[in-house]
Amino acid sequence: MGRLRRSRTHHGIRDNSRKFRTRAYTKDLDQIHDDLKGENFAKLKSQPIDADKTGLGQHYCVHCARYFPNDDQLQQHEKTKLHKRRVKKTLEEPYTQKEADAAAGMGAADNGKRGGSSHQSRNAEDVKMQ
Amino acid sequence: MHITRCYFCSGPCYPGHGTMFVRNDSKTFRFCRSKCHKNFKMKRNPRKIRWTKAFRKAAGKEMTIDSTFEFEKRRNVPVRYDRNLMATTVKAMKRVQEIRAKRERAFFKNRMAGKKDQERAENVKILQQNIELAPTASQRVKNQVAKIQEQKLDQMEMDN
Amino acid sequence: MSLYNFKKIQPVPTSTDFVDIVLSKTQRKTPTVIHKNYNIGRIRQFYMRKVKFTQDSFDEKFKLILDEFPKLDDIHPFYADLMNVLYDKDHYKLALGQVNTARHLIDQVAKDYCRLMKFGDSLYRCKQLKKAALGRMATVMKRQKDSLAYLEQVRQHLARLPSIDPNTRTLLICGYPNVGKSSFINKITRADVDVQPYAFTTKSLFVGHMDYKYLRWQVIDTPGILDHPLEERNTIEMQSITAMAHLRSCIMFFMDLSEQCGYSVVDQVKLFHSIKPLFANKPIMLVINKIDQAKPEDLPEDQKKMIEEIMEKDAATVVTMSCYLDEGVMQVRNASCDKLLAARVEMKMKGQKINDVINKIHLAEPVARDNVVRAPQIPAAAANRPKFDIKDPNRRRLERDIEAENGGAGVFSADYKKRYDLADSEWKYDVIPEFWEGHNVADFIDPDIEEKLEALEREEERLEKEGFYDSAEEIMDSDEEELKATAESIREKKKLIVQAHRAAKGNRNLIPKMVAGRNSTVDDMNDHLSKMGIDASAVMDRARSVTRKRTRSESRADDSVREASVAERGSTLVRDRSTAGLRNVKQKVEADKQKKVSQRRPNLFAKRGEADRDIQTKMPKHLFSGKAAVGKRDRR
Repeated sequence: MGRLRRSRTHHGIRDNSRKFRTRAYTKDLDQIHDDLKGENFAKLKSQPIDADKTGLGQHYCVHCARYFPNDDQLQQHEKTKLHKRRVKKTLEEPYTQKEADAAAGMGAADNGKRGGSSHQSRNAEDVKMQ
Repeated sequence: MHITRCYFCSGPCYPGHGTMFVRNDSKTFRFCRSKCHKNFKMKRNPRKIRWTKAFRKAAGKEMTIDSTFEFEKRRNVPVRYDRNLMATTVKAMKRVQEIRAKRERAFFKNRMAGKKDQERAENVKILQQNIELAPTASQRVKNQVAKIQEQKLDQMEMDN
Repeated sequence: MSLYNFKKIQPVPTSTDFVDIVLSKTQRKTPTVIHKNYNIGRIRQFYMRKVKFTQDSFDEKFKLILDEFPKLDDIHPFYADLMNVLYDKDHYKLALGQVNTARHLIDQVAKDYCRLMKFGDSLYRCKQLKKAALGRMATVMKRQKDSLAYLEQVRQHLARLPSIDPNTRTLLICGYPNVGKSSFINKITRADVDVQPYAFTTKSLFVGHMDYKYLRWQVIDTPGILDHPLEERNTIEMQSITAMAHLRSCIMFFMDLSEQCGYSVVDQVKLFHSIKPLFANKPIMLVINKIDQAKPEDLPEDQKKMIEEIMEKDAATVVTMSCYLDEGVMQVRNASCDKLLAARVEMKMKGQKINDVINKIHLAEPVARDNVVRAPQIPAAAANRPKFDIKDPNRRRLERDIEAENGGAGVFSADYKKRYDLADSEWKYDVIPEFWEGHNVADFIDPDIEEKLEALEREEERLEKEGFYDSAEEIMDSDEEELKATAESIREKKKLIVQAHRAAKGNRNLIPKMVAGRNSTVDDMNDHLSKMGIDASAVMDRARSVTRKRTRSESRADDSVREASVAERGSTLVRDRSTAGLRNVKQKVEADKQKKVSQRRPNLFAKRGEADRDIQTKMPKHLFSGKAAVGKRDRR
């Protein structure tokens, strides 16, 4: 029998390639931002019993997208720095592709007007005139 | 073929380059290179990463509001091809780019306006404090320091 | 026919085999290595997987059995009844029911133990739980021993049943034993039924196929039946009865007027009457066989009457033949086939489905509401256009003509642009620019671009007028520049001072004086002194002059300098180890001598001595183990 590992002896070793695999994907901040909206929040807070989830899926922290085994642990978690930091992050407006485009100097997308675009009608007129 | 903008750094993603990530809610994210992709996987906020365009805009390092930004946008309205229109468009693209560059230069200058005086003040201060370290400690420099100090005294007197 | 094929049912293993199969599958298909110092989550998951996998394989096998065995409620009533007769409906259903229960029990066991496994806190516990779970599953299986054995028997028998299609055109041959039923089927089909001169030669249903009027016909030979109440009939007879009762077929009741079969004509007529209820609404043929022995005309009056009665009352057609002489066999066959066909058509006409066919045939036409003629409207241009004719040399040119002219398919590529609807047809073949310096041209396309650009230009002019772009280009004067340079050099110096201070502060590598002394040269000293603003020329001169006086050798000069500088610090760090531990010169000489002697032998045999380069490990593990990844081989 080998020696049991002492806890976290090499904090510098982070297996990022494993941690960031798509199958280990955790919710993004913009998804959590959506979750925090009234209806979604209520739904996530009262989930149906699921034996595959931690604590039967009954104690869920929406901000951190984590399940806890019982209410006690959830309460404890809400007092941690990790949680508070996360809450602060989720409060601000999430970053979107729109913002990325705006940063590149692009305006908001032009989707035309409802019920036929003005451009097309003008084009048709032009053609007629010619 | 379409050049999209990188989700992370807002750089151009040319066709056949970079990575696209499709999240399980079918939202797509384009990245211009693996650097951006990796940073995204680390769940970093581009607004807080200094090398991204988003940071520079958010931190007021670059112009955010300008009329030249209204020219380039995703067009979801089909327009019939017209040679004249195409010619004007290409011309306009170049002109707009020119104007934007000019304005950006002006913006930068504006932003750096106070920098010179600040630097000068710092230089004077360091000279006053550490005159013994001045290498050749030329007479001119010493004269200069004296002059500055005189100016200061004058000013104080004036204020009084 | 493919509907009722029971030959494909997979064998049902016995209960012990069943357990063996499943457990060995689990062993083969799940990981087998686990250690107790693994993460507990991993251990749990390992055993949970085993339990779940076992349950899955059980489930799969049970489901296969339940799916493959025919369900009595779903299959044709003929087969349902036949299976009831042959295997006893209750017994069959019970066996399948038990299999289903076992499946649910095993599911439940797995579910329970998986849940318990979540609380297992060590490898041992988890292993015990897994063991218990598999044990309980095996116990459940053991209880299924009888039903599985029964199902296997049923399967074997079912596989041997003839495949009868209950819905197709069928001739059903029935009658007393030994009246020539099997001979008839052998004559008209390619079936090879055993014919023997004793009763009950045929013990089960036999099927033969034949063609008539370009249709496939199915002929079923049934075992002979005797005339007694239904309750007293045995299994063999019951098979005939079920066939008669459930198959929509032409019933061919065979009679032997010669009474060679051992039953009198009266008996045979009685039998017909007693089983008549089964033939309701089916075409009936009364086949009189063995006319080489006895013809109906030769019968006594009363018996003749009986037959005529059957003919009239039950709409049976009487036909005669002799299988022995091959007389009338084909006529009998054709007559019965025609009768069945007619009956089936009649049946279809009566049924509900006929409406679907009739609807298709019927063509509804609206009633005219007035007398106005509404001719089809064809535009003049279309009507006047010459009709397309492939032989006409002046016909309209099609895209395929162009293709043929230009080298045919594979060579010619169609021109899609020529039909573009643009304001100017010259533009059709324009190359449309896509990108410009990382921008999409399409993103700029805007019908109003001219106005917008103009607006921008006006704005630009205004800004220029307002002096937005004016900037006083500040030119540094020489004073300023000097000030900057001086400040910069002061900063540089301060930085060096800080560095030196930090370096002196400890937490640094201590260089032994010896080494430090060895590395410092006269030039270093010179540099250092001149930096401090002290004239070092005197010292330099002295160092050089001394060396020159003492010796000409360069190396000696360095040594002397070193001694000079080191001596200043007042320490001698070099000790001659060769004399350590020796009292005097005499001892040293002795020691040297002994050393030489001890090395003589090894030197003679060129053996390795103490002074030789020593390789302790010839193949260090870390350099020779592990798999090579993709890449350079020297990176190990």
